Amino acid sequence: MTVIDLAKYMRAREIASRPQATAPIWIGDHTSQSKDRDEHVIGTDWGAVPDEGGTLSARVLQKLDRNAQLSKFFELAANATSHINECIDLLEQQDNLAADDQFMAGKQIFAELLMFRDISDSVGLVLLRCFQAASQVRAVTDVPTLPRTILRVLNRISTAPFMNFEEACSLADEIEHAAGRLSMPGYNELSEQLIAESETEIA
Amino acid sequence: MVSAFLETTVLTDYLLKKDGSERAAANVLSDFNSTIVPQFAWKEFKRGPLSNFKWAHNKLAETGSFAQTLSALQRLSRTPQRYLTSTAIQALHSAFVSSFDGVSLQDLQDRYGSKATMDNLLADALRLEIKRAMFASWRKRKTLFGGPHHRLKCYPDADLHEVKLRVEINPRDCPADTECCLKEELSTKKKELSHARAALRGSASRPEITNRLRVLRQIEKHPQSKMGPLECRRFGDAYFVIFCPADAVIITTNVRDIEPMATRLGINVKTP
Repeated sequence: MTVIDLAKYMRAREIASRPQATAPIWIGDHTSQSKDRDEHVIGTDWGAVPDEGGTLSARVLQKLDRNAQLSKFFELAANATSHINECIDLLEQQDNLAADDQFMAGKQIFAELLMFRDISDSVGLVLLRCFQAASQVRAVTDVPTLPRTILRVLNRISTAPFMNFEEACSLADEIEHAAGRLSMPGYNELSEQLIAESETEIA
Repeated sequence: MVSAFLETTVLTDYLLKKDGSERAAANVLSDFNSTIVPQFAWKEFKRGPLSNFKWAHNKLAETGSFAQTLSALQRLSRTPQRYLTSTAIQALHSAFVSSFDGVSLQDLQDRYGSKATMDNLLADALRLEIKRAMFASWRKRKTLFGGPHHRLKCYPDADLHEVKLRVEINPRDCPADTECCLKEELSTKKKELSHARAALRGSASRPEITNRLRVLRQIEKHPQSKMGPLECRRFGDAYFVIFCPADAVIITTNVRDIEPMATRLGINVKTP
C-alpha cells in the first residue's frame, strides 16, 4: 500500500467518524479551496482531480499508523520547527551562540528529513533546500531572515505535503533568496553537458 | 528605444544555468530598454535544452544513481570531449558528502538503508534540482519580459506533465503535417532571405549550414513547396536575423552562426 493509498484510506475513515477533524491537512494542493478543480493535485499525479471529501487530520494519521512514513515525517518536521522556533527566539534575545546551536541541531534533522523525500517531490525539493541552506550557513547571524523563512516553509510543507510542485519551487526560491546562492554539486557540470548536447541537436 | 531580441542560447543561460552565465545574461539585458523573447526561442528551448533536462531527470529517476546516469550520458553523447572524468565525478561526490559534515551518515544508513547512500541521495537531489529548473523555467514563458513575442499559430504550446515518476514534455514540435505559419510571412521577406543565404554560403561546409541554406533557397525560390516542422527546425538561427524587430539587437552566444547573417542585414549582435 502506498502512502497515498494509506492517506486516502485514512481520510475516508476520518471523514466517516469525525467530519470536523482538527488540524486539517489537505491531501493535495493547499489551494484546494479554489473553485478551479483542475488546480488540485494528488501526489505526483499532476492534473488529477482528487476525490470529493474533507480533510485528513495529522493527529488521526499518527494514531492509526505510528510507523507510517508520513507520520514520521510530521513528527520530524515538528521537531525541526521547534528548533528553528527556539533559534528565532534566541536571536531576538541576542543570544547568538545558543541560536546558532539550535540552527545546527535543525541541520541534523533536515538530513534525516531528506530520507522522507519520496513522500512527494514537493517535500523532497523543499527539504533539500532547507538542508542545503543549513549546510551552507557558517553563522546564523549571517542570514538573519533565513530562520523565519525556513519556519514558514516548513509549516507550509507540513500542512500540504502533496502541494503542487510549482508551489514547492516558489518555496525553494524563498529559501535560496534568504540563504544566498545554494549550489548543488554536479548540477553545473551536468547542465553544461546537456545544453551542449542540445546545441548539437538544434544544429 | 533599443530592445534586446533574445536568442535561444542566452534564454537558456538565463533560465537554466547556475554557474554565473545567468547573471551575465541578466546583466547584458539590463543595458536595454526592453527585452523581446520570441515564441520561436521558447520552442527551441523546449525542443533542445528542456528536452535533454527531461532525459536526465527521467534517467536519474530510473537508475537512482548519479554515476549510472553519467555513464549513460557518456555513451549517448555526441560531444565526447566534454564528459566528466572519474576523478571529476569523485570530486562531485566528495563535495556533496561534505555538505553532510556533522551528520552521522552511518546511523542514517543503518536506519534508512539505500535511501541514505550518497549515490542515491545525490541522484535524487540532482533530479529534484533539474525538475525545479524545468518547471520553474517553462512556467516563466507566459510572463517573462511581458510574455512571448511573435506567436506561432502552428505551435502547440503546452505545459509539462508527469506520468508516474517521469516528466513528459510533449508536444515538442508542431504536428508533423503542419504547414509552418512563418512561410507566409517569409514570402514577403525576399530581400532578407537573399542576404541570409549570401552570408551562409561562406560556411556551407558544415551540415547544419547546408541544411539551412537548402531551406532558405526552397522558401525563396519555391514558395509553394511545403515548410514542415523539420524545415522550421533547420531554418533555426535564420529566424532571429530575419524576424529581428527594427532597432533591436540580437543577444546570443552563438555569434559564429548568427553574426554573418546579421551583419549582412545591418543588425547588431551582442553577447553576454
